[in-house]
Amino acid sequence: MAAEVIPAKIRVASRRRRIFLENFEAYLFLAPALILIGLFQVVPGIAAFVMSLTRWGVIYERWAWFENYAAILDPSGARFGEFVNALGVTVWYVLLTVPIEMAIALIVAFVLYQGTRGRGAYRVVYFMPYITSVVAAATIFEWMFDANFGFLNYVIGLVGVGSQAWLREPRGIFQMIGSAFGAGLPDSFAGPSLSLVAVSIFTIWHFIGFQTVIFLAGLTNISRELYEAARIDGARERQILRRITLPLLSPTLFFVGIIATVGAMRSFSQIYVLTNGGPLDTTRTVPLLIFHTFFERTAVNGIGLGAAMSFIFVLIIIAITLFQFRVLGRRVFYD
Amino acid sequence: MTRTSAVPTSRSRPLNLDKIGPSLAKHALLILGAAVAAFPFYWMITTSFKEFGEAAKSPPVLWPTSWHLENWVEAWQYPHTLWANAFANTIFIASMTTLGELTTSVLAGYAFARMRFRGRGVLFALLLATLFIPTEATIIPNFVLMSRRYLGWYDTYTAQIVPFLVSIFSIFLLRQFFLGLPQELHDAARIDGAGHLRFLWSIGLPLVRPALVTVSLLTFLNAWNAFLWPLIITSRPEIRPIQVMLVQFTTEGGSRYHLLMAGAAFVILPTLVVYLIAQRYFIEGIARTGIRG
Amino acid sequence: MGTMRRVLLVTTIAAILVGACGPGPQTAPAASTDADISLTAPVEITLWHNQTGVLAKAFNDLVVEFNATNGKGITVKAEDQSSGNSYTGIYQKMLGAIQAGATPEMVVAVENQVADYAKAGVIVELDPYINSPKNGLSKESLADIYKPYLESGKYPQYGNKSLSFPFVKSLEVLYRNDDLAKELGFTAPPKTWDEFEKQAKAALKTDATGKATRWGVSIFSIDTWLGQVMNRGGSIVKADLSSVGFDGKEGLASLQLLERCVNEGWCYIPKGFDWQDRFAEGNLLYVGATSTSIGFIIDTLKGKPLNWSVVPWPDAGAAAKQIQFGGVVAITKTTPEKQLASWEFLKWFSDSKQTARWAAASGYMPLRASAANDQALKDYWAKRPQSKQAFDLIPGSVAGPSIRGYQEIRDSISEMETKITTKKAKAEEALAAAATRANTALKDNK
Repeated sequence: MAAEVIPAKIRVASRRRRIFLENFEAYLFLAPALILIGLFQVVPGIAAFVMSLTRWGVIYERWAWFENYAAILDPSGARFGEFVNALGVTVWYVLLTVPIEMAIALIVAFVLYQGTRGRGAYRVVYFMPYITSVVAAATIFEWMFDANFGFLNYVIGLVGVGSQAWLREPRGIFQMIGSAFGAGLPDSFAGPSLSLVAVSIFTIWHFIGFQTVIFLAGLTNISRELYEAARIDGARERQILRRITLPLLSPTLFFVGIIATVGAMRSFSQIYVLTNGGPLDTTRTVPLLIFHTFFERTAVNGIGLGAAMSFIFVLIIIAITLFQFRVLGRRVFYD
Repeated sequence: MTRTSAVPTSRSRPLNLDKIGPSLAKHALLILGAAVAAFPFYWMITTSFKEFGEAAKSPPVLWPTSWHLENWVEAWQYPHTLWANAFANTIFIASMTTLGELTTSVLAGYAFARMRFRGRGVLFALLLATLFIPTEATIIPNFVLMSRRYLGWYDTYTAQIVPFLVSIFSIFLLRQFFLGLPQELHDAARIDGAGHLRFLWSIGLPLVRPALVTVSLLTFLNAWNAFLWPLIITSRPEIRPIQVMLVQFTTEGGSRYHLLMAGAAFVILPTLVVYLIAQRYFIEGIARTGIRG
Repeated sequence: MGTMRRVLLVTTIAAILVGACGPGPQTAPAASTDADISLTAPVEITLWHNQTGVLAKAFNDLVVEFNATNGKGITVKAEDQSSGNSYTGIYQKMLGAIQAGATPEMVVAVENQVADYAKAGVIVELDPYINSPKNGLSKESLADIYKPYLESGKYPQYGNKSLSFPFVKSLEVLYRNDDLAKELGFTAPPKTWDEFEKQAKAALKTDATGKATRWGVSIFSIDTWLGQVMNRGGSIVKADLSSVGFDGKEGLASLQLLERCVNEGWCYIPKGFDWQDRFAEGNLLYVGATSTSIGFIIDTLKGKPLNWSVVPWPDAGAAAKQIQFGGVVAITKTTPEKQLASWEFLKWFSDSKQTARWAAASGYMPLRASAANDQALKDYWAKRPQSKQAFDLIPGSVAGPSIRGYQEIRDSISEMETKITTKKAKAEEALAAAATRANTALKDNK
């Protein structure tokens, strides 16, 4: 192509036009996604925030600035008690599910990575619970937890423990264990209810496969030469575990930890279907409290309070996540 | 990422568990775990064929003494549960959602990965930020949005589909894949005069096929399992999807466990079948999300 | 974006939201003078109800007949909107519909829910329709309808205006296994609560391991407890709505009876409706439950020859009161024509012939005394004497207060009973907690 002398102005103008067209095309590509996110997430998010600044029951009543927030955070108010209660239940729920899920998933991933025969088949089976709908799985588990003829009561009956009410048992497990040994624990040390434990068992069952798969992938990612080299150098199993495997797995562990924690805190469907927050509100996590406030106690400023609660909760989640980043993130090893 | 199929040699294993326990112990552990994972499914299937009294007997009966296939028929034809409708609805909604979500996430993922434009970084960060919008709170405004005063989509299929035509997770996934394509491909196409769309269609898409399959499967699965939103946004039983129908069924069925398990089976089996056929894509798709430093 | 734009954005959104809503709070439903018009064109109206299964079919048959015979061009479309959750399901749906501006012309609810809807200003006042010279009910007709049903349709928080009309009514009754009573040597139903307790205790039978195989009573429904309180002379809510009335000595005595029966094991703690199975087996002497259970008990018996009947509640001196409850229908504000069409349907449905037919098909109580003359109903009662026994108790029945916040009060009682059945708290403590919660609800809902 013969080099033509194109005046500088035209060259700049045509380049600017090209850049403009490229920008335009890019935004065209992004438009569907952006419009949808804007319309169904951003706008409702803003609207929800505005709602939290109002007194809104069955219908809009009046503007309320930050009254709802104050009502929820006021220690002498009625709303404070139930919110703190829900936070407590949420914390117990996270503690009962996340560490156990991760521990079991980690062990299973380790064992699978050993090159066990049939590893693929095991992986498939372990992952099955994750793909089933919560509603359907909960139907099955309701039977398993049944007080009169549930499978779990049969199993614990074999080791001599009496039938439990599981999903309908509001008493705290520490108190229950204590009274089995004759010790009476005060109410504040009652611990999570057996009902919450039952819901946690369901959650653990649901998520193990998911986490196993991720850990397995993380393990696979570690270069095998490292192990060879370490063994040639005479390193022992414990040292390999501590110095190579865990550090190199730490990004995955960290990632799973955060996702699992946030996921557990926001968990809704399974609790709703299994217990709907009961019995006696001992499985009423914050998302459930928000849902109840919105949909069952709508008439008493339900929408205003519910919206305020959800924003307070988001701030708490962000705080906890940042905390995890700060404290645990430091121990993550990036190569 | 290529899947390592070779068994690691004993030297290169992360942890030599042979020292801790023999192969038998390993398998015992895995089998126990697998049994726990699979038992509810086993129970669901066997109970659905049991005779009414047997389904709720103590001690539990692990193998039905008689097989009652008519339970499934009875459950299917249970008055006021429109299973056939629910199935058709769900397949329709899930398919539409999947197609739509594929489109939006491919376009958006590609744009973020391969197109240079003003505000790319900021927009991406904002996208991440939207993950923190409390979904518990947005349900009500979304509900109002569907009302006659605004979009008027209350009690329609549209309301069950359109809000889910985009997923930030899918955008991230596709972006990841597009970033993985070698730059030379792009440059070659550019020289040949192909625009972004042409490149995407003839070269990009075929190369990111695993991601497309994963996104399709996960979107379809999520649409299949959708429960809360359809519950509050629909009122006519004819357009309700299958999870909502199951909830209605379990409330009406009371304690007739043999029928309830059949109902649960209706809902779970299709996903199980699809899963077993395509499990590689499911699992690897999930695994991929964890491989990030 | 700049501060100015931000303020504009927030204000716009707020304006949209505010504009999206109905009239201001606490408006009493506007009086309608549209009750005296005539219908000149065909009208189609929707009714949201909670009938399911066979009852839905029976109800639909009635609706179809109305559509065919009303001669005024009215077509009613009846939809089950309960989503398996009965009144609560419709309530949530309705609240959503109010937000969405998509309410049906008629909605079935319980009174406290109508009270909530009325706060949004969407409910039509019915007095103009009831008393309309052209389209209303005659004095005789009005007197024929049971007074307790009409009374519960008047709402104290709205100047005692009529905002709803009775639809599917039942009462809380005491069932007795007559065979078992005879076996234990009791012929007359207990006159006092102490006698009741004695009889129930006598029915307790345990097996070799100490597990109970026969119980005296199952009385854990909320309305049974409230009925007990009232029969002892107490009240649910004080007449001036300032605070609850169930936390007095009557309430304590009632709760302590429950506490004793749980501790001593002579009451059966039901899971869902399985008390029907126990009763049909002959293992329950008394059950406190809704009159609607009659059909279910008969079904569960499957022809087994058990003699059972409805007996009056024991009373400690005051006139025995049954609690009546059930669904009512409220009409929403739409157009005068649709409102009148809805009223015509309600009038027809509550008329003697239809109410008798509905009662015979559903097991709900008829709304009128004259229904007792209907042959179809008489035949029904011949096969189900228990229904007639319940029917005879309607005149002496009372309803719970038709106020906003009553649901929360009921929830507090349910919570209280759960604490007793799970032995999580003592009676005094549980009662006090319930009263606190209920009083807060009363205050919030003033």
